[in-house]
Amino acid sequence: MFCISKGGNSMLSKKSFIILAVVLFYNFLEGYAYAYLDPGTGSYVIQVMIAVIISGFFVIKSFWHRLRAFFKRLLSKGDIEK
Amino acid sequence: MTSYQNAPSSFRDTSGFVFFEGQQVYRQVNLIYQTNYDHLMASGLYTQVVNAGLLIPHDEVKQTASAGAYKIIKPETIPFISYPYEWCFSQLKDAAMITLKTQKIALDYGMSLKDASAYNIQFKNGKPVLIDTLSFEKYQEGRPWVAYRQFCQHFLAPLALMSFADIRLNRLLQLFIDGVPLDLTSRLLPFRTKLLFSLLFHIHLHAKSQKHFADKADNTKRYKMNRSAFYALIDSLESAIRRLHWDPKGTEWAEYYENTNYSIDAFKNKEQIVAEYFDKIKPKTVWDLGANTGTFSQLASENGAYTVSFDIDPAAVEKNYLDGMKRGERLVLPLFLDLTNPSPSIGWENEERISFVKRGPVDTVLALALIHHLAISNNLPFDRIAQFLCKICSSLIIEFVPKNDSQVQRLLRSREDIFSNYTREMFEMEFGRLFSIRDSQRIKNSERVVYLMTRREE
Repeated sequence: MFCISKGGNSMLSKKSFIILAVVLFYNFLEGYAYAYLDPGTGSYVIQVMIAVIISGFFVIKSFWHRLRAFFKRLLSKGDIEK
Repeated sequence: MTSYQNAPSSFRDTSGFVFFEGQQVYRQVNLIYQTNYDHLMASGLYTQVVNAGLLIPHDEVKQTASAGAYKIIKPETIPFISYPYEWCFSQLKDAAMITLKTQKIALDYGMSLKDASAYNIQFKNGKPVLIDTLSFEKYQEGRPWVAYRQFCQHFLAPLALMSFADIRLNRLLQLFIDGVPLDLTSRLLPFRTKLLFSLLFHIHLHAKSQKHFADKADNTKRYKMNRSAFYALIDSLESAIRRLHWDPKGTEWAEYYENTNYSIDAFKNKEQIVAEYFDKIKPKTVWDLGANTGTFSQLASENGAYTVSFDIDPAAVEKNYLDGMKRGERLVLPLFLDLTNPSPSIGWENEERISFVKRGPVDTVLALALIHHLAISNNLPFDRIAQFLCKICSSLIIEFVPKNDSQVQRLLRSREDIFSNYTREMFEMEFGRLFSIRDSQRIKNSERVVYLMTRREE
């Protein structure tokens, strides 16, 4: 949160503004400069959906493995205590 | 004065374009692509994909350039340009796999393919290779794959159609210049493909999504996908492609080898005659028309000739390709061709993908066990066949199959014999007008005759 104020801070805020403008400009440029294909909105949407689902599977899979490992440790602990 | 000519199909990508100087191929790299090109070369990605045989190597050269040029590069030449509608199932599948493999490696170097067109792949040394060096762009974290739609239309859709519906459906790629539309694919695929996760999502739901968003103005920048999700998507496409199979057994294409008319001795004798003729003329380039599984194409390549091995039977082309892969064949390229309706010139101004005839002529055409299919099944008179062959080669090794041959009798079984001119004498007379008959030999234990002919120079 920076405030634009007169006097001593005006140089800093001017520099920050220029840096911000340059960063935004390059982001804009990078986004459109080279990819000439029309990717298709529908293709973007389904892609993201597929990626979310597959990632979801991985999350569930690793959660399931961790759950199994947890119960394994719990049961073996119980054996030791006996 | 050599001619400069821009490649008619190389106009879509502003990063650069392909041009010809005479017979030499060059690619201009434009200034707008400079950062990406430098990153490709300096990061080690270029070295890795070239060494893995995935990307065609190039040299940087000094050459006259157009405005906006950063560099001119000279890629290694491809001996024969072919198109995806001419490839067999496994050729298209291998082309898809190397596209995805390249994409995965590119990600490790902070790059990504900005297109995934089947026309970016050509065959060299018997294997598919990416020829579009400018296809790599710097990967932007968060951005989904811009080439996903194109990959599904150029590769996944036709392969799924060939596998689940009909092997002939890759020819739809000739009708649809940017790959098979997904809604059409979805409609042609059988219902059971909706029960497979990969095809349900990448084809059926993808098609529905395309339709739903077709007229909606949406800000695509808000759809984000991190790098691991991106990788998972490519991985998913890879397993989808890998799991697609086509086995000719049990289909109408199963009987691809037609060796019913030669005894073992006769076949060996035919091989000897053809080998002798190849040794006599020593061609550098050969087209084997009606090559079947490529047995005689191999005789040509053993003599060092680059041989394109054409056949109308998709199972024969498939077997030819797979056998070639097994033995590491570098000089034979199997392709699908219907000689009665060969690949036309298509695309913008009918110039982007060139016709079969325009990709010739070659040194030698091999036309064994073919003439009866053209003259009888396609009703072509001998002079028309000779005219065509004259256009595409300087020398010809051709086999005359007489009317009393059982294969010809089979073709005449269900039709009237209107072919009174189909005789050996007429054949020699008509071909003798345009070619000079250098030698002929009758195959042992057979009525068939093999000829060696050279085109008459006017």
